[in-house]
Amino acid sequence: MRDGELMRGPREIDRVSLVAGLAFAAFGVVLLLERAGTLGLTFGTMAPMAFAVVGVILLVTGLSRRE
Amino acid sequence: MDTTSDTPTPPPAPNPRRITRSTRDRIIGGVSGGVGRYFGVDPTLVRIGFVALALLGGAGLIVYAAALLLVPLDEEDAAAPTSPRDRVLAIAIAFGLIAAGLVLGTFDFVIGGALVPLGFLVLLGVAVWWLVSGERPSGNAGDLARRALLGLGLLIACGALAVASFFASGLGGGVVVVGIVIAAGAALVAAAFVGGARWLVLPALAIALPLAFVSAANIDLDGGFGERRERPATVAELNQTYRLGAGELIIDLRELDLPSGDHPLKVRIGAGHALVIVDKDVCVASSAEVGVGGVAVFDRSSGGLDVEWTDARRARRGTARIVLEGDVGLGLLEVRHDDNDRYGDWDERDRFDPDERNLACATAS
Repeated sequence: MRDGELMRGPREIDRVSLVAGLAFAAFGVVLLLERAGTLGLTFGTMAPMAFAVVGVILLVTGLSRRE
Repeated sequence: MDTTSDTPTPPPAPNPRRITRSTRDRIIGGVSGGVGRYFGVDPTLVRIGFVALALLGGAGLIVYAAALLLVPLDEEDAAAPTSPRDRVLAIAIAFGLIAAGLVLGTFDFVIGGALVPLGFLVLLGVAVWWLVSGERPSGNAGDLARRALLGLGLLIACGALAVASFFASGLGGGVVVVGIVIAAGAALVAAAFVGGARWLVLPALAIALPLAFVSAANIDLDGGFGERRERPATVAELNQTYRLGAGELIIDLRELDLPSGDHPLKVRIGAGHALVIVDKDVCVASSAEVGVGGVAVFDRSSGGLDVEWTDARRARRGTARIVLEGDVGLGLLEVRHDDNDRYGDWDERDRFDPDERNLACATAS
């Protein structure tokens, strides 16, 4: 079993892919709302979100390697 | 009956972890071997780092010479922290460094100009591959070269993706790029249940981050590229809106004989430099939004991220006023009376120039 893979019943779940995928999907939805004009994003709001996405991915990758 | 054997003996106190020079893994003085062992890194990488630093101004040689003198050898030779051979070597390196500085300083250190970037590229490639694959930088030179190439290849591919994402987002394809990011996220989630697809994380980041930058800076590259100079001679030729995707847009209004009253002027540039040149008898009231960059209207300026600029001015009686509305994604919007130093020498701006002012305006309103 690779780093970060959990046994849940008969299936293996790669946590890094799962968390990164959810983060990208959420980030994409925010960007889509911005493109649609629903949200007005500036660097003040966009930069923390982008850093959060990168940080979450790095965090879960690091935790997986530690396990 | 021997009772001493049943008495639990306390475990020996652990030796404090200290850095020493390696006597087994040494090419010169065992510094790289010891540093590599201390940090759990392949000594070859440490040697590459020392060589790179040595070529970059000689810092590697200074550090190596200092380590030769100050760091003791392994425990088996700890009684002799610094052998006479190492002392001689350290002194020789110091003298060699001084001599090299005197001689190579006149030849502009040509060798360093080629080898230093190469060394950094190798280190960068290995670091990227380590981050992505989790493979520690160990093994022989062939393994290191393979990892460096894979890491650099990945970096170049992601760079190309990022550039494509930037231009596609700026040219109106932002929704498509957003769709790709969401699709990549969905693919990652789905792949998580069938073994994972971590390789997709880096390309997805390379696409998502430039898109986020373009969205935050509100960069619109539609409107053409390059340098454009507009010089209307009559009021009829003066457009209300000028726009350029990327490049330099110069709107020279000095030949224009503007009648008194307000004249709206919108300037929109995605990335680059916009310069509006007006006569000294024209008042300029300005407002602008800049994602990344700055605004400089005569002797007033502002810059940074998310710049909101307002310089409300009232014209003197019988004077023309240009009501400028700027929208810059990434770059600089300038208003001046001439086009000297038009690329915005910010140091020069600190000097007071009595001519570069909004002379035709009354007072700030």
